[in-house]
Amino acid sequence: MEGSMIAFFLLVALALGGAMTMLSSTRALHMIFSMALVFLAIAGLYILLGAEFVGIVQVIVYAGAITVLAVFGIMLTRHDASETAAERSRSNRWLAFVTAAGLFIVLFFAISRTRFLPVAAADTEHLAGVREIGMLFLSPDYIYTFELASVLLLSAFIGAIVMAKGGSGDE
Amino acid sequence: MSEIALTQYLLFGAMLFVIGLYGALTRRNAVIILLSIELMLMSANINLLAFGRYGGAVQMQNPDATLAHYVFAQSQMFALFNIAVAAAEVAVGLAILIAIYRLKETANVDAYDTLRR
Repeated sequence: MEGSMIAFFLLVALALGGAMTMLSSTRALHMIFSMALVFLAIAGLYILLGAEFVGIVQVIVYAGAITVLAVFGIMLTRHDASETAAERSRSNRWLAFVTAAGLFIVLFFAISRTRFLPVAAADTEHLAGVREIGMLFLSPDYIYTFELASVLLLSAFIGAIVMAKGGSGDE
Repeated sequence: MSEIALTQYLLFGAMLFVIGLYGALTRRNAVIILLSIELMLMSANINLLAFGRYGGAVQMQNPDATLAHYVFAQSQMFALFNIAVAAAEVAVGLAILIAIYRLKETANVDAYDTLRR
């Protein structure tokens, strides 16, 4: 029990530290690599929660694909150091800070005042694994949602190719 | 408090969401704004999985273990749907960014104001 506590706080510190580094960094590539650190730390948290499959998918999709895609986005567009480093106006940043801090205060009080029912320590070795998730995906309740997600991904990728290619070809 | 509780996960998710919100509001680089939105989506994922894992109400009302497992499998399924939607969003977002970049020669979102003029 003590080890999982240490792992939890280590991963939380890693994720929040990476996110803070992302905000304070001035170069776009450094931002993306600190985001990759955040993605990996959160994958660790998923595994700590008992959701190994989601954690591994997180590593593949986020730390693998999305990070590489973002690096491509940075490389294919021009980034003057001044442009990346330049912040928006001071009033805009102040307003954004007030909005974010206000939202956090509201969420903090909502979460800390709620009395969640105490949970009897569930047996961690019998948690739902890949098999249960697969059965649920293909069960009659969720099969249409699952197919819809596949169609969404397919149309998104075709749309992305069409848009990034640009032009209709006959110009 | 010897075990990690639901509250700690929810607070971590809230912190992550707020950092993502601040990043999305203050950055000017379109790629970084997309990544900040990813951060906000991921905090929703953490909440889903934490509620599924520590689904107190379900376990209290029904000590049957299979129901708790069903709820946790369901929460993992929702998280996977969320990841799929996030991947589609990033792909389309970056394609739109590249298409606009061809037009405007910049990735600065402040320059994307054609509809305002």
